[in-house]
Amino acid sequence: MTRRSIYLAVATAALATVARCEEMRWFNLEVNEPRRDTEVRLHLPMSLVVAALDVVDTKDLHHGKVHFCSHSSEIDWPAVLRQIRSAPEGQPVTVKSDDADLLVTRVGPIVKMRVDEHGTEGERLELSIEADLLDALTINSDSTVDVKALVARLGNTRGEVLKVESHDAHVRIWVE
Amino acid sequence: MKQRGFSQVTTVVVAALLALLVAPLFMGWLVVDVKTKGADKHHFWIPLPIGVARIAMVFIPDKELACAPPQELVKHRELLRSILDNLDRCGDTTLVEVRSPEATVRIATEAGKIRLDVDARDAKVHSAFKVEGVRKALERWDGGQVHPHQALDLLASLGRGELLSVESDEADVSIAYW
Repeated sequence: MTRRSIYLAVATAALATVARCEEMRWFNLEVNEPRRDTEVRLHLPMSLVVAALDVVDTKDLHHGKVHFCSHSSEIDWPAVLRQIRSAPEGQPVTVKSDDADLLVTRVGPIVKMRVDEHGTEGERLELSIEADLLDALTINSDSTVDVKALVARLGNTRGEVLKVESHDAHVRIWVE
Repeated sequence: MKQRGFSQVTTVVVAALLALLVAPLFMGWLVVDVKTKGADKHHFWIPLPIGVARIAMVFIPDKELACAPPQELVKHRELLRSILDNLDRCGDTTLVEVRSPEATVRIATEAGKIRLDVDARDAKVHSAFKVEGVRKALERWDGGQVHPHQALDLLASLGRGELLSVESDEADVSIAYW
C-alpha cells in the first residue's frame, strides 16, 4: 500500500512537471547594437508578456494595441499586407514611397522583407518573419497594430519568429 | 521557617520582564546601515525590531501614519499582480540582461526570489526579495491608503537577508531584514 502510494505520488509529480513544462512557453528577445556596444536579452514567460500587454494602457500601447507613427505613413499598410498574402510564393511584392522602398518575398514558411530608406543616410533593414505571424498581423488604416493578436499567435509557435538586420542593430525574437 | 530568595510573584514579574526584553531578539529585525563618504563621513547603523515597531504603532492614531500610495502603483496594481503570479512559476532563470558601456543590468529569479543587480558607472544596486511575499501583500491590499502595519507585513514577507544595497560615490546604504 505504501509502495503504491509512493508510485502514485511520483507519477502525479511527474505529470505535474510535464504539464507545467507544457504550459510554460518563453518569449526571447535579443538585441545587439555593435556600434553602441550594447546587448539586451529578454527571456520572459509568454503568459507574462500577454498579461502585461493586456493591462498596460499608455499613450502608445493601449491594451495590446500599438499605434506606430511610421515615417512612411503614406504607405497603405492594410493594402500592402493583402498584396503580400495573396502573392504567389517566391514572387516579390514591391512598394515604393518617398521615404523608402519595400521588397517582400514569401519563401516557404518565412516572409523576407527588405526596406531601403532613401536619402544620404538611408539604411537597409532586413526582416525575416514567420508567415503565420504575418497572417495574424493586422494594421488598421490609422497605423494601429494589434500586438496582442500577434503574441497570441506566438503561443502556437516555437523557434525563431523574427529577425531584423540593420547597420545599427541585430534583433532576434524566438519562442521556446 | 524563614524562606530565602525570590518570592513566587517576584519570579513571575522578573520572568515576564526578561521575556519582554528577549522577545525582540526572536522577532524580525530591520537593519538600516548607512555609510556616507567624502569629507564628512558618517556611519549610521539602525536596528529596528519589527515587533516593537508594531507595538509602538498601537499607540499612534492610524490616520496619522496611513498614507496614500503612489498613483502609478494603484494604476498598475493588476499588472503587478499578474507579473508576480507569472514570476512565481518561473523557476530559476535570468529574465532580463542588459550590457552596455554605461551599465549592466540583470533581473533574475532565484529560489523564489526576484533578484535585481545593476552595475552602473556611478552606482551599484542589488536587491532581492521573495516574489510570493509581495504577491500576497498585493492581494491583501485593497488599493486604498497604505497603513503602517501593511508596510510591516510586506517587509516581513520579503524574506530574510539583504533586501537592498546601494553603493554610490556619496554613500553606501544597506537595508536588511533578519
